[in-house]
Amino acid sequence: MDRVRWTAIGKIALAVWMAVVIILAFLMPAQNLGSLGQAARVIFFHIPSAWVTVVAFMISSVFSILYLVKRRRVDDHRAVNASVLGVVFCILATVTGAIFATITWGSPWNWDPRETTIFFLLLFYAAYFVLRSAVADEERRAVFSGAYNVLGLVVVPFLVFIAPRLSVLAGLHPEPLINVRGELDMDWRALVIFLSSLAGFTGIFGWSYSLANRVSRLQDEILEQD
Amino acid sequence: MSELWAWFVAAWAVCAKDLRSEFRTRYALSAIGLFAITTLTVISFALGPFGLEQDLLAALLWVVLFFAAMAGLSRVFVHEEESKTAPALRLAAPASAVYLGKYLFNLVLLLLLEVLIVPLFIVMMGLQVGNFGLFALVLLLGNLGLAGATTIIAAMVSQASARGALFTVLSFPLLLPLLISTIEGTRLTLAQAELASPWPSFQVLLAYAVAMVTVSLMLFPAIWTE
Amino acid sequence: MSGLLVDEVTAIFVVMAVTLVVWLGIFAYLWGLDRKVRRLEKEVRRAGNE
Repeated sequence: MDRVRWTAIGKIALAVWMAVVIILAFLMPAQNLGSLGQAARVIFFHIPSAWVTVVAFMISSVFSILYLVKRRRVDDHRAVNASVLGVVFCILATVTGAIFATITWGSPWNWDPRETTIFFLLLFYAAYFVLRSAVADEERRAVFSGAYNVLGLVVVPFLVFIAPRLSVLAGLHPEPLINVRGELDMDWRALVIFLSSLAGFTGIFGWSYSLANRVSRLQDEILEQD
Repeated sequence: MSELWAWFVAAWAVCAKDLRSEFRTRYALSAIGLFAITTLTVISFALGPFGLEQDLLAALLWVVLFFAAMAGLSRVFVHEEESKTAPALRLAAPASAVYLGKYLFNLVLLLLLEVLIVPLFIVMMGLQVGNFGLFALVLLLGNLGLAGATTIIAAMVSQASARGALFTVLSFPLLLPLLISTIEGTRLTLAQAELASPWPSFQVLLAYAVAMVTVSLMLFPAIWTE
Repeated sequence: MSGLLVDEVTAIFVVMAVTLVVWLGIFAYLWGLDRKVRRLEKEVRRAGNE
Protein backbone atom coordinates (compact mmCIF):
# COMPACT_ATOMS: atom_id res chain seq x y z
CA MET A 1 0.00 0.00 0.00
CA ASP A 2 1.37 3.38 -0.90
CA ARG A 3 1.92 6.36 1.31
CA VAL A 4 -1.43 7.96 0.63
CA ARG A 5 -3.17 4.82 1.79
CA TRP A 6 -1.21 4.73 5.03
CA THR A 7 -1.91 8.36 5.85
CA ALA A 8 -5.58 7.83 5.11
CA ILE A 9 -5.67 4.94 7.54
CA GLY A 10 -3.86 7.11 10.08
CA LYS A 11 -6.44 9.87 9.74
CA ILE A 12 -9.35 7.48 10.17
CA ALA A 13 -7.56 6.05 13.17
CA LEU A 14 -7.30 9.57 14.57
CA ALA A 15 -11.04 10.03 14.13
CA VAL A 16 -11.79 6.84 16.00
CA TRP A 17 -9.16 7.59 18.62
CA MET A 18 -10.58 10.99 19.48
CA ALA A 19 -14.14 9.66 19.41
CA VAL A 20 -13.18 7.05 21.98
CA VAL A 21 -11.35 9.67 24.06
CA ILE A 22 -14.43 11.87 24.06
CA ILE A 23 -16.72 9.04 25.07
CA LEU A 24 -14.45 7.88 27.85
CA ALA A 25 -13.85 11.42 29.04
CA PHE A 26 -17.53 11.79 29.71
CA LEU A 27 -18.40 8.30 30.82
CA MET A 28 -15.62 7.89 33.34
CA PRO A 29 -17.09 7.99 36.84
CA ALA A 30 -16.69 11.44 38.29
CA GLN A 31 -15.38 10.39 41.68
CA ASN A 32 -12.11 9.34 40.10
CA LEU A 33 -11.49 12.89 39.01
CA GLY A 34 -10.80 14.26 42.42
CA SER A 35 -12.68 16.82 44.43
CA LEU A 36 -13.80 18.93 41.47
CA GLY A 37 -16.54 16.63 40.26
CA GLN A 38 -17.99 16.69 36.78
CA ALA A 39 -16.36 19.99 35.92
CA ALA A 40 -12.95 18.33 36.08
CA ARG A 41 -13.70 16.62 32.77
CA VAL A 42 -12.67 19.85 31.11
CA ILE A 43 -9.05 18.89 31.90
CA PHE A 44 -9.18 16.40 29.05
CA PHE A 45 -9.78 19.19 26.56
CA HIS A 46 -8.51 22.34 28.19
CA ILE A 47 -4.95 21.31 28.91
CA PRO A 48 -4.30 19.61 25.55
CA SER A 49 -5.55 22.78 23.85
CA ALA A 50 -3.18 24.90 25.87
CA TRP A 51 -0.37 22.47 25.15
CA VAL A 52 -0.98 22.63 21.40
CA THR A 53 -1.08 26.41 21.36
CA VAL A 54 2.27 26.58 23.13
CA VAL A 55 3.78 24.04 20.73
CA ALA A 56 2.40 26.02 17.80
CA PHE A 57 3.99 29.15 19.19
CA MET A 58 7.36 27.43 19.49
CA ILE A 59 7.12 26.06 15.96
CA SER A 60 6.19 29.48 14.64
CA SER A 61 9.14 31.04 16.41
CA VAL A 62 11.56 28.45 15.05
CA PHE A 63 10.42 29.06 11.48
CA SER A 64 10.53 32.81 12.03
CA ILE A 65 14.16 32.53 13.06
CA LEU A 66 14.83 30.24 10.09
CA TYR A 67 13.27 32.77 7.78
CA LEU A 68 15.29 35.66 9.18
CA VAL A 69 18.45 33.68 8.66
CA LYS A 70 17.77 31.98 5.33
CA ARG A 71 15.07 34.19 3.81
CA ARG A 72 13.16 31.35 2.21
CA ARG A 73 9.52 32.09 1.52
CA VAL A 74 8.42 28.63 2.61
CA ASP A 75 9.66 29.27 6.15
CA ASP A 76 7.50 32.37 6.42
CA HIS A 77 4.48 30.31 5.32
CA ARG A 78 5.26 27.71 7.94
CA ALA A 79 5.54 30.35 10.63
CA VAL A 80 2.22 31.98 9.75
CA ASN A 81 0.35 28.70 9.46
CA ALA A 82 1.59 27.61 12.85
CA SER A 83 0.39 30.92 14.28
CA VAL A 84 -3.04 30.57 12.70
CA LEU A 85 -3.51 27.16 14.25
CA GLY A 86 -2.04 28.48 17.46
CA VAL A 87 -4.74 31.15 17.75
CA VAL A 88 -7.48 28.61 17.19
CA PHE A 89 -6.26 26.38 19.98
CA CYS A 90 -5.51 29.37 22.16
CA ILE A 91 -9.10 30.55 21.89
CA LEU A 92 -10.23 27.01 22.67
CA ALA A 93 -8.01 26.87 25.73
CA THR A 94 -9.06 30.29 26.98
CA VAL A 95 -12.77 29.60 26.56
CA THR A 96 -12.68 26.14 28.14
CA GLY A 97 -10.61 27.60 30.95
CA ALA A 98 -13.09 30.40 31.52
CA ILE A 99 -15.97 27.92 31.57
CA PHE A 100 -14.14 25.84 34.13
CA ALA A 101 -13.28 28.92 36.18
CA THR A 102 -16.88 30.09 36.24
CA ILE A 103 -18.12 26.72 37.42
CA THR A 104 -15.43 26.13 39.98
CA TRP A 105 -14.58 29.55 41.35
CA GLY A 106 -17.51 31.69 40.33
CA SER A 107 -15.85 34.14 37.99
CA PRO A 108 -14.51 33.52 34.48
CA TRP A 109 -11.36 35.63 34.75
CA ASN A 110 -9.04 36.50 37.61
CA TRP A 111 -5.59 37.25 36.22
CA ASP A 112 -3.92 34.41 38.01
CA PRO A 113 -0.55 33.29 36.59
CA ARG A 114 -1.89 30.67 34.17
CA GLU A 115 -4.68 32.88 32.91
CA THR A 116 -2.29 35.78 32.40
CA THR A 117 0.05 33.63 30.33
CA ILE A 118 -2.67 32.33 28.04
CA PHE A 119 -4.10 35.82 27.69
CA PHE A 120 -0.66 37.10 26.75
CA LEU A 121 -0.45 34.43 24.04
CA LEU A 122 -3.85 35.42 22.68
CA LEU A 123 -2.89 39.08 22.65
CA PHE A 124 0.45 38.32 21.08
CA TYR A 125 -1.08 36.27 18.29
CA ALA A 126 -3.60 39.02 17.59
CA ALA A 127 -0.84 41.63 17.46
CA TYR A 128 1.15 39.35 15.14
CA PHE A 129 -1.72 39.23 12.65
CA VAL A 130 -2.41 42.95 12.93
CA LEU A 131 1.24 43.56 12.11
CA ARG A 132 1.06 41.32 9.07
CA SER A 133 -2.01 43.08 7.76
CA ALA A 134 -0.37 46.48 8.19
CA VAL A 135 2.60 45.78 5.96
CA ALA A 136 2.00 45.78 2.22
CA ASP A 137 5.29 44.50 0.88
CA GLU A 138 5.56 40.73 1.12
CA GLU A 139 9.20 40.56 2.05
CA ARG A 140 8.94 43.32 4.66
CA ARG A 141 5.90 41.59 6.09
CA ALA A 142 7.80 38.37 6.54
CA VAL A 143 10.81 40.11 8.09
CA PHE A 144 8.75 42.21 10.48
CA SER A 145 6.48 39.43 11.65
CA GLY A 146 9.48 37.14 11.98
CA ALA A 147 11.23 39.72 14.14
CA TYR A 148 8.11 40.25 16.22
CA ASN A 149 7.86 36.51 16.76
CA VAL A 150 11.42 36.44 18.06
CA LEU A 151 10.69 39.35 20.41
CA GLY A 152 7.69 37.42 21.68
CA LEU A 153 9.85 34.36 22.24
CA VAL A 154 12.26 36.42 24.33
CA VAL A 155 9.45 37.77 26.46
CA VAL A 156 7.83 34.42 27.26
CA PRO A 157 10.45 33.20 29.79
CA PHE A 158 9.95 36.40 31.75
CA LEU A 159 6.24 35.83 31.86
CA VAL A 160 6.70 32.26 32.98
CA PHE A 161 9.03 33.25 35.78
CA ILE A 162 7.17 36.33 36.88
CA ALA A 163 3.69 34.88 36.84
CA PRO A 164 4.09 32.83 40.01
CA ARG A 165 5.22 35.92 41.83
CA LEU A 166 2.02 37.79 41.30
CA SER A 167 1.81 37.80 45.05
CA VAL A 168 -1.64 39.29 45.26
CA LEU A 169 -3.31 36.89 42.88
CA ALA A 170 -1.33 33.69 43.19
CA GLY A 171 -2.95 30.50 44.24
CA LEU A 172 -6.26 30.69 42.50
CA HIS A 173 -5.78 28.59 39.42
CA PRO A 174 -3.04 26.00 39.49
CA GLU A 175 -3.51 24.35 42.82
CA PRO A 176 -6.41 21.98 42.22
CA LEU A 177 -5.16 21.06 38.76
CA ILE A 178 -1.54 20.70 39.73
CA ASN A 179 -2.58 18.61 42.65
CA VAL A 180 -4.53 16.38 40.36
CA ARG A 181 -1.60 16.03 37.98
CA GLY A 182 1.33 16.21 40.33
CA GLU A 183 0.87 15.56 44.00
CA LEU A 184 -2.44 13.79 44.48
CA ASP A 185 -1.77 12.07 41.16
CA MET A 186 -4.57 11.57 38.77
CA ASP A 187 -6.36 8.29 38.98
CA TRP A 188 -4.55 6.11 36.45
CA ARG A 189 -7.61 5.75 34.27
CA ALA A 190 -7.99 9.52 34.07
CA LEU A 191 -4.30 9.81 33.30
CA VAL A 192 -4.62 7.41 30.37
CA ILE A 193 -7.55 9.33 28.94
CA PHE A 194 -5.69 12.58 29.50
CA LEU A 195 -2.53 11.45 27.74
CA SER A 196 -4.57 9.96 24.91
CA SER A 197 -6.35 13.24 24.47
CA LEU A 198 -3.01 15.01 24.44
CA ALA A 199 -1.79 12.69 21.68
CA GLY A 200 -5.01 13.13 19.76
CA PHE A 201 -4.89 16.90 19.92
CA THR A 202 -1.29 16.84 18.75
CA GLY A 203 -2.37 14.63 15.85
CA ILE A 204 -5.14 17.04 14.92
CA PHE A 205 -2.65 19.89 14.97
CA GLY A 206 -0.13 17.94 12.91
CA TRP A 207 -2.65 17.07 10.25
CA SER A 208 -4.08 20.59 10.07
CA TYR A 209 -0.59 22.07 9.96
CA SER A 210 0.55 19.85 7.11
CA LEU A 211 -2.65 20.70 5.23
CA ALA A 212 -2.08 24.42 5.69
CA ASN A 213 1.51 24.14 4.49
CA ARG A 214 0.45 22.13 1.45
CA VAL A 215 -2.06 24.83 0.56
CA SER A 216 0.61 27.53 0.91
CA ARG A 217 2.94 25.58 -1.33
CA LEU A 218 0.17 25.12 -3.90
CA GLN A 219 -0.42 28.86 -3.90
CA ASP A 220 3.26 29.47 -4.54
CA GLU A 221 3.41 26.86 -7.31
CA ILE A 222 0.33 28.26 -9.01
CA LEU A 223 1.75 31.77 -8.85
CA GLU A 224 4.97 30.55 -10.40
CA GLN A 225 3.18 28.94 -13.27
CA ASP A 226 1.45 32.14 -14.29
CA MET B 1 39.15 49.57 19.71
CA SER B 2 38.85 52.71 17.68
CA GLU B 3 36.17 51.03 15.60
CA LEU B 4 34.09 50.53 18.71
CA TRP B 5 34.68 54.13 19.67
CA ALA B 6 33.62 55.31 16.22
CA TRP B 7 30.49 53.27 16.62
CA PHE B 8 29.71 54.88 19.95
CA VAL B 9 30.36 58.29 18.47
CA ALA B 10 27.90 57.55 15.65
CA ALA B 11 25.26 56.39 18.12
CA TRP B 12 25.77 59.44 20.25
CA ALA B 13 25.58 61.64 17.16
CA VAL B 14 22.18 60.17 16.26
CA CYS B 15 20.96 60.74 19.78
CA ALA B 16 22.39 64.23 19.98
CA LYS B 17 20.78 65.19 16.69
CA ASP B 18 17.40 64.15 18.01
CA LEU B 19 17.99 65.85 21.34
CA ARG B 20 18.97 69.07 19.62
CA SER B 21 15.92 69.09 17.38
CA GLU B 22 13.78 68.17 20.34
CA PHE B 23 15.22 70.99 22.39
CA ARG B 24 14.32 73.41 19.63
CA THR B 25 10.78 72.26 19.02
CA ARG B 26 9.97 70.43 22.24
CA TYR B 27 7.44 68.59 20.17
CA ALA B 28 7.75 65.08 21.50
CA LEU B 29 8.13 66.17 25.09
CA SER B 30 5.07 68.40 24.91
CA ALA B 31 2.99 65.70 23.32
CA ILE B 32 4.02 63.05 25.78
CA GLY B 33 3.96 65.42 28.75
CA LEU B 34 0.56 66.90 28.03
CA PHE B 35 -0.83 63.45 27.40
CA ALA B 36 0.46 62.30 30.77
CA ILE B 37 -0.87 65.35 32.55
CA THR B 38 -4.26 64.87 30.94
CA THR B 39 -4.35 61.22 31.97
CA LEU B 40 -3.26 62.11 35.46
CA THR B 41 -5.91 64.80 35.74
CA VAL B 42 -8.62 62.44 34.59
CA ILE B 43 -7.53 59.82 37.09
CA SER B 44 -7.25 62.29 39.92
CA PHE B 45 -10.60 63.81 39.10
CA ALA B 46 -12.41 60.53 38.66
CA LEU B 47 -10.80 58.53 41.44
CA GLY B 48 -9.68 61.21 43.86
CA PRO B 49 -12.68 61.17 46.18
CA PHE B 50 -12.38 57.43 46.67
CA GLY B 51 -9.32 57.26 48.89
CA LEU B 52 -7.27 54.78 46.94
CA GLU B 53 -4.92 52.28 48.50
CA GLN B 54 -1.21 52.73 47.93
CA ASP B 55 -0.98 49.45 46.02
CA LEU B 56 -3.53 50.70 43.55
CA LEU B 57 -1.66 53.99 43.19
CA ALA B 58 1.53 52.14 42.31
CA ALA B 59 -0.33 50.43 39.49
CA LEU B 60 -1.97 53.66 38.34
CA LEU B 61 1.37 55.40 38.11
CA TRP B 62 2.54 52.85 35.59
CA VAL B 63 -0.75 53.02 33.71
CA VAL B 64 -0.13 56.73 33.19
CA LEU B 65 3.50 56.17 32.21
CA PHE B 66 2.57 53.35 29.86
CA PHE B 67 -0.01 55.36 27.95
CA ALA B 68 2.27 58.36 27.76
CA ALA B 69 4.97 56.09 26.36
CA MET B 70 2.53 54.79 23.77
CA ALA B 71 1.75 58.35 22.81
CA GLY B 72 5.30 59.49 22.35
CA LEU B 73 7.94 56.82 21.93
CA SER B 74 7.18 55.89 18.34
CA ARG B 75 8.11 59.34 17.21
CA VAL B 76 11.82 58.55 16.98
CA PHE B 77 11.28 56.61 13.78
CA VAL B 78 7.90 57.75 12.51
CA HIS B 79 9.22 61.30 12.35
CA GLU B 80 12.18 60.21 10.23
CA GLU B 81 9.97 58.38 7.75
CA GLU B 82 7.44 61.17 7.55
CA SER B 83 9.95 63.93 7.04
CA LYS B 84 11.79 61.70 4.55
CA THR B 85 15.07 61.97 6.44
CA ALA B 86 15.18 58.21 6.99
CA PRO B 87 17.12 57.33 3.84
CA ALA B 88 19.78 59.88 4.74
CA LEU B 89 20.02 58.38 8.20
CA ARG B 90 20.46 54.93 6.71
CA LEU B 91 23.49 56.19 4.80
CA ALA B 92 24.90 58.25 7.63
CA ALA B 93 25.36 55.62 10.30
CA PRO B 94 25.53 51.85 10.75
CA ALA B 95 22.21 50.26 11.72
CA SER B 96 23.17 49.28 15.24
CA ALA B 97 24.43 52.78 15.97
CA VAL B 98 21.13 54.20 14.77
CA TYR B 99 19.32 51.85 17.10
CA LEU B 100 21.45 52.77 20.08
CA GLY B 101 21.06 56.46 19.39
CA LYS B 102 17.31 56.21 19.13
CA TYR B 103 17.17 54.04 22.22
CA LEU B 104 19.11 56.59 24.22
CA PHE B 105 16.84 59.35 23.00
CA ASN B 106 13.74 57.45 24.09
CA LEU B 107 15.39 56.85 27.43
CA VAL B 108 16.00 60.57 27.91
CA LEU B 109 12.43 61.28 26.89
CA LEU B 110 11.12 58.87 29.50
CA LEU B 111 13.36 60.31 32.20
CA LEU B 112 12.22 63.84 31.45
CA LEU B 113 8.64 62.68 31.45
CA GLU B 114 9.04 61.14 34.87
CA VAL B 115 10.71 64.22 36.28
CA LEU B 116 7.55 66.03 35.30
CA ILE B 117 4.89 63.47 36.13
CA VAL B 118 6.11 61.63 39.22
CA PRO B 119 6.13 64.64 41.56
CA LEU B 120 2.72 65.65 40.20
CA PHE B 121 1.45 62.15 40.76
CA ILE B 122 2.76 62.06 44.30
CA VAL B 123 1.06 65.34 45.11
CA MET B 124 -2.21 64.79 43.27
CA MET B 125 -2.79 61.19 44.21
CA GLY B 126 -1.18 61.12 47.61
CA LEU B 127 1.43 58.47 46.86
CA GLN B 128 3.58 57.79 49.89
CA VAL B 129 7.04 56.70 48.93
CA GLY B 130 8.95 54.82 51.58
CA ASN B 131 12.39 54.56 50.07
CA PHE B 132 13.09 57.23 47.48
CA GLY B 133 16.34 55.69 46.31
CA LEU B 134 14.75 52.36 45.50
CA PHE B 135 11.71 54.09 44.05
CA ALA B 136 13.92 56.00 41.63
CA LEU B 137 15.76 52.78 40.81
CA VAL B 138 12.52 51.04 39.84
CA LEU B 139 11.66 53.92 37.54
CA LEU B 140 15.09 53.83 35.95
CA LEU B 141 15.12 50.08 35.40
CA GLY B 142 11.56 50.21 34.11
CA ASN B 143 12.60 52.89 31.63
CA LEU B 144 15.49 50.79 30.37
CA GLY B 145 13.08 48.00 29.55
CA LEU B 146 10.31 50.25 28.28
CA ALA B 147 12.60 51.97 25.81
CA GLY B 148 14.19 48.63 24.96
CA ALA B 149 10.96 47.03 23.85
CA THR B 150 9.41 50.04 22.18
CA THR B 151 12.29 51.40 20.11
CA ILE B 152 12.46 48.44 17.76
CA ILE B 153 8.66 48.29 17.51
CA ALA B 154 8.74 51.96 16.57
CA ALA B 155 11.14 51.11 13.76
CA MET B 156 8.72 48.50 12.42
CA VAL B 157 5.69 50.71 12.81
CA SER B 158 7.34 53.61 10.98
CA GLN B 159 7.44 51.49 7.83
CA ALA B 160 3.86 50.24 8.14
CA SER B 161 0.39 51.71 8.05
CA ALA B 162 -2.04 52.55 10.86
CA ARG B 163 0.89 53.70 12.94
CA GLY B 164 -0.67 55.04 16.11
CA ALA B 165 -2.84 52.11 16.98
CA LEU B 166 -0.32 49.61 15.63
CA PHE B 167 2.38 50.83 17.99
CA THR B 168 0.26 50.27 21.07
CA VAL B 169 -1.10 46.93 19.84
CA LEU B 170 2.39 45.58 19.19
CA SER B 171 4.03 47.01 22.28
CA PHE B 172 1.60 45.94 24.95
CA PRO B 173 2.07 42.14 24.77
CA LEU B 174 5.83 42.57 24.92
CA LEU B 175 5.58 45.01 27.81
CA LEU B 176 3.29 42.87 29.92
CA PRO B 177 6.10 41.24 31.96
CA LEU B 178 7.75 44.62 32.38
CA LEU B 179 4.57 46.22 33.69
CA ILE B 180 3.96 43.37 36.11
CA SER B 181 7.46 43.71 37.51
CA THR B 182 7.57 47.48 37.70
CA ILE B 183 4.22 47.67 39.44
CA GLU B 184 5.34 45.02 41.89
CA GLY B 185 8.69 46.72 42.42
CA THR B 186 7.14 50.15 42.86
CA ARG B 187 4.63 48.75 45.28
CA LEU B 188 7.40 47.41 47.48
CA THR B 189 9.18 50.75 47.74
CA LEU B 190 6.15 52.51 49.11
CA ALA B 191 5.79 53.53 52.73
CA GLN B 192 3.12 50.99 53.58
CA ALA B 193 4.68 48.06 51.82
CA GLU B 194 5.33 44.85 53.65
CA LEU B 195 8.95 44.17 54.50
CA ALA B 196 9.49 42.04 51.40
CA SER B 197 12.48 43.00 49.36
CA PRO B 198 11.96 44.60 45.96
CA TRP B 199 15.29 43.27 44.74
CA PRO B 200 13.87 40.25 42.88
CA SER B 201 11.82 42.67 40.80
CA PHE B 202 14.95 44.69 40.10
CA GLN B 203 16.73 41.62 38.86
CA VAL B 204 13.86 40.78 36.55
CA LEU B 205 13.71 44.35 35.26
CA LEU B 206 17.43 44.47 34.59
CA ALA B 207 17.34 41.08 32.87
CA TYR B 208 14.40 42.20 30.79
CA ALA B 209 16.12 45.39 29.70
CA VAL B 210 19.32 43.56 28.79
CA ALA B 211 17.41 40.88 26.89
CA MET B 212 15.27 43.33 24.94
CA VAL B 213 18.15 45.60 23.96
CA THR B 214 20.35 42.67 22.96
CA VAL B 215 17.67 41.04 20.81
CA SER B 216 16.73 44.42 19.35
CA LEU B 217 20.34 45.03 18.34
CA MET B 218 20.36 41.68 16.57
CA LEU B 219 17.03 42.20 14.81
CA PHE B 220 17.33 45.88 14.01
CA PRO B 221 19.56 45.67 10.90
CA ALA B 222 17.03 43.37 9.20
CA ILE B 223 14.24 45.80 9.94
CA TRP B 224 16.08 49.01 9.20
CA THR B 225 17.81 48.23 5.93
CA GLU B 226 15.59 47.83 2.93
CA MET C 1 -32.54 29.16 39.43
CA SER C 2 -33.50 26.10 41.36
CA GLY C 3 -33.79 22.69 39.79
CA LEU C 4 -32.15 21.61 36.59
CA LEU C 5 -34.28 20.94 33.56
CA VAL C 6 -32.64 17.55 33.13
CA ASP C 7 -30.89 15.43 35.69
CA GLU C 8 -27.14 15.25 35.81
CA VAL C 9 -26.78 11.93 34.07
CA THR C 10 -28.72 13.00 30.99
CA ALA C 11 -26.80 16.27 30.92
CA ILE C 12 -23.49 14.43 30.69
CA PHE C 13 -24.76 12.34 27.82
CA VAL C 14 -25.95 15.41 26.00
CA VAL C 15 -22.61 17.18 26.38
CA MET C 16 -20.80 14.04 25.26
CA ALA C 17 -23.01 13.68 22.21
CA VAL C 18 -22.52 17.33 21.29
CA THR C 19 -18.76 17.05 21.67
CA LEU C 20 -18.76 13.92 19.54
CA VAL C 21 -20.77 15.58 16.80
CA VAL C 22 -18.49 18.63 16.89
CA TRP C 23 -15.43 16.42 16.56
CA LEU C 24 -16.88 14.39 13.70
CA GLY C 25 -17.83 17.62 11.98
CA ILE C 26 -14.30 18.95 12.32
CA PHE C 27 -12.93 15.64 11.07
CA ALA C 28 -15.24 15.64 8.04
CA TYR C 29 -14.14 19.19 7.24
CA LEU C 30 -10.45 18.29 7.46
CA TRP C 31 -10.99 15.16 5.40
CA GLY C 32 -12.80 17.08 2.68
CA LEU C 33 -10.07 19.71 2.66
CA ASP C 34 -7.43 17.02 2.42
CA ARG C 35 -9.14 15.54 -0.63
CA LYS C 36 -9.38 18.90 -2.36
CA VAL C 37 -5.73 19.65 -1.67
CA ARG C 38 -4.69 16.24 -3.01
CA ARG C 39 -6.68 16.83 -6.19
CA LEU C 40 -5.21 20.30 -6.65
CA GLU C 41 -1.71 18.99 -6.08
CA LYS C 42 -2.17 16.41 -8.83
CA GLU C 43 -3.45 19.05 -11.23
CA VAL C 44 -0.70 21.54 -10.49
CA ARG C 45 1.97 18.90 -10.86
CA ARG C 46 0.52 17.78 -14.16
CA ALA C 47 0.40 21.37 -15.39
CA GLY C 48 3.95 21.90 -14.23
CA ASN C 49 5.20 18.92 -16.22
CA GLU C 50 3.62 19.99 -19.49
